Amino acid sequence: MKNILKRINKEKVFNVIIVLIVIALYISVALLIYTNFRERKRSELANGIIDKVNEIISENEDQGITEALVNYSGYNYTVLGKLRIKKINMYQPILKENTAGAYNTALVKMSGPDLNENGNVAIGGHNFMRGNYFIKINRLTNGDVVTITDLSGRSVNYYVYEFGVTSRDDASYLAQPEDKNAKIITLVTCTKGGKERYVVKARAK
Amino acid sequence: MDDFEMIDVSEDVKKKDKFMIGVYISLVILVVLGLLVYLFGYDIVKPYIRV
Repeated sequence: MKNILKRINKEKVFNVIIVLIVIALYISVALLIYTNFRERKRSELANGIIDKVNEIISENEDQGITEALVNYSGYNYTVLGKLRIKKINMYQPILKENTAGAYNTALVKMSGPDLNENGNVAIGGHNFMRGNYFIKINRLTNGDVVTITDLSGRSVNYYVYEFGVTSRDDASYLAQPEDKNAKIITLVTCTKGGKERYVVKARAK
Repeated sequence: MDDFEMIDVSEDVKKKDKFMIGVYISLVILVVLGLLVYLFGYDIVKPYIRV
């Protein structure tokens, strides 16, 4: 009798474990699909905003505008320009809003003067711990080109001269250069779940 | 003790078989449903996805 009871309990436990595994599989698949869809939507949104930026550039070429409000798919953002890094196949709009929503959509200007003006402009981007976002900047090395295009259609090439990991509390990369005529761009993203920052600095020649 | 005592386990086996068939069916549904949603569900779900 004891043996039968033991067997029944073991079977019940086994069944419960199997049911839990099946439920966990359902939840995992749902999460995977949702994450994939969210990434698709983000990339769709960023591409849509890039199209709008291109329209603004073609309509306002050489008129000196520095920002413009765009609406795409129900999202309103203030765009400043776009960034292209051919080496890592990155082409993203730069937004003005320093909000979580903006960071989830594209790159965000963290600090500094207007794009392509003298001074240090810091641009931040999420990487979501996946290789297809801003974490790709860790593949940049000295001499690699970062191209920034502002809304007047002016494109400036910046050449990487410094890169590496810094502490979350270190904000020295946001400082303005001593040389007032230097044009510097600083690309920033998080590493180790936000505990550190990966910083790439590039200078226009 | 009779070494050859017969124990009827057919009901237990049937129950276990039914349970395992249920598990297999739910796994097949998961794969089919997952593929359908992944391939054709984006446009339907898109308005509800927050970036």
